[in-house]
Amino acid sequence: MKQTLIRQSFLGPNSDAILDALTVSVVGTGGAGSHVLQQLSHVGVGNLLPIDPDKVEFLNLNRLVGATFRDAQKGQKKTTVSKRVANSINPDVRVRPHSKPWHEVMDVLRDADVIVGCLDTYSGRSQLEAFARRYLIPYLDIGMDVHSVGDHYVVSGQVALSMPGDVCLQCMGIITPDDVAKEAYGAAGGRPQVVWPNGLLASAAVGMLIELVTPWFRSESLSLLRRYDGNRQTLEPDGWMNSNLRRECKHYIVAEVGDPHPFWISSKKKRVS
Amino acid sequence: MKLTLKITEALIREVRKDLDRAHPYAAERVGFLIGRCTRSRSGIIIFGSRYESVPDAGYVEDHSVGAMMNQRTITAAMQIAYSEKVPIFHVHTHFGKDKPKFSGIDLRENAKFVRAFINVCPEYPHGALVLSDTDMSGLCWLPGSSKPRRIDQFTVVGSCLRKTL
Amino acid sequence: MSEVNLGALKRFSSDASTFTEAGLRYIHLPKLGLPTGCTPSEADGLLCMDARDGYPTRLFFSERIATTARTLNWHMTVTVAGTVWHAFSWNGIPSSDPVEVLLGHLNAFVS
Repeated sequence: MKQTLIRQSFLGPNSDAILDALTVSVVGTGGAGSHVLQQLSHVGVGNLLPIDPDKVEFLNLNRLVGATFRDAQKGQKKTTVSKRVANSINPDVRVRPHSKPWHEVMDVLRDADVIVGCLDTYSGRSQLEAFARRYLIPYLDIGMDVHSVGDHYVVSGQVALSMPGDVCLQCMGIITPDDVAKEAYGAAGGRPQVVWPNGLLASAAVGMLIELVTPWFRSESLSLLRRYDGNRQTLEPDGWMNSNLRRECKHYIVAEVGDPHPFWISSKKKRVS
Repeated sequence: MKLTLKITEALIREVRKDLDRAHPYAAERVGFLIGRCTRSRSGIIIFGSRYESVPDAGYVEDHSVGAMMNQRTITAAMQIAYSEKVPIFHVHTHFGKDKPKFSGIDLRENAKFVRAFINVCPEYPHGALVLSDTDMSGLCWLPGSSKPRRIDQFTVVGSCLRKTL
Repeated sequence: MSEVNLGALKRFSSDASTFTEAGLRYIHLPKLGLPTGCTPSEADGLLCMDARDGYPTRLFFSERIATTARTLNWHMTVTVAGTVWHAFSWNGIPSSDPVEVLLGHLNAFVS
């Protein structure tokens, strides 16, 4: 086992090789995504695909792990920061950053073993999940919100694992068609964001990813959903979604994978898009 | 260009369960994995979509081999490829542990019936898989190619994500 | 989707086919012929027969279409079946017979 990973040998005798062979894409490398990428680098994931079209701004500096004042001055690409952070931890990690919207690099994204979604729109997360389902890629979704209720604020969030063949974000009630519809008509604008819930949720997501690829303890079923209460400072598993009694997904047909026939045919003509 | 096959844990479990059943006269069972595909930056990914079991009557009684499909079985598989426009992979198992290998008879017979699938559905890859209890190997005829290629990677997606080469 | 309905749609797109994603029904309409005054004159279309994005049905295209009929608000791109689609704002076409739905959306390109 690599010297740098000796302290995590409890993950299994081949865990370092398993993690080194893994390709994880983090879509959205802002608040939560920057934490995820940092931790994936620490834990030894060998191939990272950070995807984000944005550049660092001053208003990101309250939460963007690894971003500096100088990055904001320069308008540095967020994915450049991702690569810098990852390689400063582990020079051997193979980071292929893409400073583009994820739908412009779908050919790359199809090769991911796991996708971690750190987007800030319901629509984006819903479409990314549908993409992951179609190409049999486990999808970890991180969501966090700050709402005003009366005269105070409520911080909440969750980490959800959308597994092919299992319940989806809609089944879990995390993203509904109403959410997407309201968002389509809603006002654009910055949403409140702070660093510590991002870190907590990102850590939970990385833990769930590790459980998926190096099952270091026996559990009756894969944990799919953890809910965060930022006011009580708790992160709790959803008892129903994490049990063997959960329902089958009503939204994704298990056999509906890969490209529908016409898209396979047209992709040959376009080569890889 | 890399060839990958991805399948859910539930589907491969269904395949193994079917292939594990005893047959009245064939020494082993076979079936068909119906797939879908996509192109990625690294190459082609084939996805297991569903499994078609071969009924008991679908075998020739031939004790010189483990299992021999009759013409009706092959025609039924060809019909699926033709009407649904999908990749088809013949599947059987050698049981045991470790990475399985195709036998000489497997290789000879694979080439014959895969050719039939290609004839009715040339736009897609077709091929054959052989399983062990813990792993799998595969050969794939890509569109336009007369010789098979080894499937480079298998990924099983389920309670544990497993990749094997 | 019944074969009868798909058959009727094949008048508009001979290779029309169906699939589902995220619980929604889609009809793929390759090389869909468009009304006079459109540029290009044909494009790949994707009809969503179920409510999404606050619309009861939607017609997406593989590229933005210009029309002499009116200025359309191409306000959204979406990803469906691993492919990018463009959407214009044209609401109020309820889910019914697919041909009716398609024609309801194509009215956006007719003055």
